[in-house]
Amino acid sequence: MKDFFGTKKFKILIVLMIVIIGVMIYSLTKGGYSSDSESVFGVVLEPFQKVSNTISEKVTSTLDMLFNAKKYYEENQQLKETLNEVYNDIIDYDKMARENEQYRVLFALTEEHDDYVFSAPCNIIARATNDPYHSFTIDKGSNDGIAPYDPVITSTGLVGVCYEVSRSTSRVRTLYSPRTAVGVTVLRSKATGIIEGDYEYAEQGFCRMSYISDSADIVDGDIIVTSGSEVFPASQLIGTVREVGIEDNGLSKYAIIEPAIDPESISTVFVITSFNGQAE
Amino acid sequence: MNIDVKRKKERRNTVLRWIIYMLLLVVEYVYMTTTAFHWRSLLLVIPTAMCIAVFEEPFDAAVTGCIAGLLLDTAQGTLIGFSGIILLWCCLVTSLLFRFYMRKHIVNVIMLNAASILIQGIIHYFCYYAIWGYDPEAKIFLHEFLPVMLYTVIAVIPLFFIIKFLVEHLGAITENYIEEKSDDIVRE
Repeated sequence: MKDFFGTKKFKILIVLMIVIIGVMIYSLTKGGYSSDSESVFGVVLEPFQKVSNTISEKVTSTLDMLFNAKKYYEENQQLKETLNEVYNDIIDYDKMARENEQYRVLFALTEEHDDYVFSAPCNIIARATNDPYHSFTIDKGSNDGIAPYDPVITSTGLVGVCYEVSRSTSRVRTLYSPRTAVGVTVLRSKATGIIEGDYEYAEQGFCRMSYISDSADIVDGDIIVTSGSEVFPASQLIGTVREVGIEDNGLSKYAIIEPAIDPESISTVFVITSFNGQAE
Repeated sequence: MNIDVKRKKERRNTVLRWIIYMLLLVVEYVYMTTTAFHWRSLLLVIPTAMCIAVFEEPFDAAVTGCIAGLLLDTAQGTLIGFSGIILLWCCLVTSLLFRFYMRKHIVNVIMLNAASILIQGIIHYFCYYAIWGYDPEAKIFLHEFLPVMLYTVIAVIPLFFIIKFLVEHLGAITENYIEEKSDDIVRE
């Protein structure tokens, strides 16, 4: 054994050790930066470390899936519940925001028309299938003070009239319906007439104004508003004149009116449950 | 067997054996640096280098110990050469002891391995934790270092038999001769 300590190999080992100690001392003096020798060692071991990392990731994910499947399942269920709660919150928020906007409009309308009594804002919950006159159902009924023939408006103008009222819903007939007859006047000239729905015009998105005096001053682009009656309050916007013509009998005029409100594009309306001059 | 063929075969065996040793060390290094096993990752390069030292020449054993130590330094993030020097001496002494004084028995191997692992662990703990006052109650040593040391010592058993198997099958070729009794042979 003693012989080994006298051999050349032992001297080489001593040199190796001295080199290593030198490297260590040099590394210590670098103050946090890796020394060249460490860098060289790092370069040599880099591919192995990459392999090690790849194995790490795969093994970790596989083991993780195997051992934590139950935990992840429960976590997933919990997250689903949380997500549903968040969705419900978003829906509630959206509903509240919409309601807020509706009440804002309602407030403005109430300020504008002191004599009007409005129902709560009504949402359109259904539209009549294949109805060329675009009638629809709202989510308020007699419980909310709505009665048949109450006028239905938006902040823009008149939409139609309630014609079938249940406790919690009401059906609304629009201006396109031939059964809706509204007394109207031309805002500029005060010429009067009656708006009636017509299938042919309804298809094109128009309605007809009849019973206009032969001498009445009415031209394209005139604004039409309600004249006021026992059913409809005055000064509610109906639409604009698109075409004026003479009736077949030659005694009166007619006008094609483009309604200001497209019933297909609205989702909220207000029902006027009472106004000055309304029939009891 | 022809002496040239025997030498050639032995040389090939030696090369093959050392390639397997190095591969084993690299695989163990990959295992040690694989984060999936980071919780109580065994320091397998120590018993492997020590078991190699049991069967190999002192110089080869010392160099292997040094390489294993450098791998351990990289894996543990200690100063390069820190474990290299420790294992260089541990492997050298182990090789010399088994060469001149000790039997290559599993119990002896476990004892020497335990001593080496303990020396490396204590020096590591002392230099990186104790002297900085990070662990006044020695909790890190008791809960982190000791279990790892214990499990690493247990890992000596399979590693010893793997190395022994390699040495027996890829080591020096021994030829057995049967000596026949003959009256013609005159012994003095």
